[in-house]
Amino acid sequence: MLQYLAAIVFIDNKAHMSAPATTPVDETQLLSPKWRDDFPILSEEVGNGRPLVFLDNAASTQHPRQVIEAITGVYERDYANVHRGIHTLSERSTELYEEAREKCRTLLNAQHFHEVIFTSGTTASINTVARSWGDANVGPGDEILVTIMEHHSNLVPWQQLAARTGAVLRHVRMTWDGRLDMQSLDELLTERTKLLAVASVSNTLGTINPIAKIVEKAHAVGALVLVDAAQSVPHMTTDVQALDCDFLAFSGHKMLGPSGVGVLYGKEALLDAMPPFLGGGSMINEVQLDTFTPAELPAKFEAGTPPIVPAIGMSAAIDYLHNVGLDAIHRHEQQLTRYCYERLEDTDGLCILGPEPKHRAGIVSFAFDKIHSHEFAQVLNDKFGVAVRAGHHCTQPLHRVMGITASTRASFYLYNTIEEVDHFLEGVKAVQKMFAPRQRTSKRRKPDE
Amino acid sequence: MGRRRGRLGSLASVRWTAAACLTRASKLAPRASPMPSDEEELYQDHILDHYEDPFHRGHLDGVTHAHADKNPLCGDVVKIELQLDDEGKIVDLYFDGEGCVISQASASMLLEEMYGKTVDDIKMFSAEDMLKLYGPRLTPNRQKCCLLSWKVIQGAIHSPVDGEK
Repeated sequence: MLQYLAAIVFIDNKAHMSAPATTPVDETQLLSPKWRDDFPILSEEVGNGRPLVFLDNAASTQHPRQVIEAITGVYERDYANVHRGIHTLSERSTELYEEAREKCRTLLNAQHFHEVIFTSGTTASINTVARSWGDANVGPGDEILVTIMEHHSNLVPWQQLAARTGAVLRHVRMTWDGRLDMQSLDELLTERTKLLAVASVSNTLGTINPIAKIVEKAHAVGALVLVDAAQSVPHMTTDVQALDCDFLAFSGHKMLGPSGVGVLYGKEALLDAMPPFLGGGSMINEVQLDTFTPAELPAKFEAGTPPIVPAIGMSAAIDYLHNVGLDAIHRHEQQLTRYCYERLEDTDGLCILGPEPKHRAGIVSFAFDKIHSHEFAQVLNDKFGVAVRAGHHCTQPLHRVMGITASTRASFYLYNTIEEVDHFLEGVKAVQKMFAPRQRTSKRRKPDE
Repeated sequence: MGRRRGRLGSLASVRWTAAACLTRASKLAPRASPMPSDEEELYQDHILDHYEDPFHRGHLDGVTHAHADKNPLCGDVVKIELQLDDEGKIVDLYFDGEGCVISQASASMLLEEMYGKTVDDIKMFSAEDMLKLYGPRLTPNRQKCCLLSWKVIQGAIHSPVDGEK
């Protein structure tokens, strides 16, 4: 633990020693602000009439008109349950729903259409693998590897699996600057390792993990790899065939789509061999009073009425992202992140969590030695109209090893601008000033004095 | 509530809770100190005073009852130690903890309020009273910060420390 505390102090001191040079913004890498016009909510006012600056995109993103209209459109023209009716609306809904699956296949560059399973979100996707693949393939003495930077959703299901099966959970450490420690990974990967569960981008540190290299190392000892891609699929190009990962999970609501839908990608052979997880309608081939035979992929893992309209909304979101361009989105966010990082780094008493900008996605979290993150989030909202996340961001163990309980997180998306980052930075300075100690001792009369 | 439309805080649940609190609070007997004039200002000077120069922060010798709790959302921690006499009078009380301004300042304000009072006064002191003592209107999440010390003191009166009855 001291190792990471030391890292925090080190980063802090470095900031004091010399004001770091700032890199000029490369205007050609920024997206046009015209995209903002597609997002009705961005003209909302918050905190007594201040224009909204939405920097909580790692939690959930906003919706362009195209997605909202796609959702309204289904309800107004096409809605019925899928795969069930012979009537016109059921056919239309089914077609749109399956079209969404094809869009997801393209987004991931998956080999097969039926390797895309719709779930309710990343959490449900990961739990499906832990329950179905995990219960069937993991036993006492087997090892599951996770990293200490995982979101609770990629940690708790594996703790539960270990408790059910008698397997051992092991944790890959990180380097002092918040990157995955590849030496620790090498040490922990053995023939006992059955699966490695890892985030492609840390939702707290913003670290981009080298997934292709990690998968190669894991496969070398015969372990499978599940990638929590909730923070990467919405922000950069993903190619599951190039990564060669075995499972990958992401959510619609972090990529301009509605909440309630997510995807589990799995390699065909693995999904085929896995027992169904949830039982019910749709996931069956034939049902007798005492037995059933499961349906083929992907229906085998989609019991019950699926998230029909959310999936169709996500389909429109994927169209929108392709229209803007995922590489262009990544470049835009890199500019915002570097701009924000270099200016925050120069702040007394403030410590940025995680690596330098070249290793991170559009996420900048920081802790302050004297001021709780709740104060930052509250004042940024009330006085500046800036929405940020405060707390542990569902990574309590990660915060604990860094010796803190909470941090403040700004996370960017395609609609954020340099001016908004400036506004946020101005807010951070104001908070610092507001809560600076003022030697108040004994100003207040105490009843017993 | 019309004028609050369009704020993030005007989500249905927030509006409902805030409205409910206000309704209940308004039924209470009027207090000597009126509601702060600027109800939007969470960090008023007297609150920051309590945060920076808290009332009875530290450890109490002769503690008879004590309790601690935390707010998992943000890691706020508050511990309250009480010295009660046989008649249920609070002889002395201290708190310790760490966390946001609201959680720590409200603990200081609560202890100042309860100093010299009785166990019955603590029991009678409702969550609404606590929110009113704090002053500025809080959203449900920040109410949890403010009510942490209130929960802890309610627990403390039922938690005799070892060696006490």
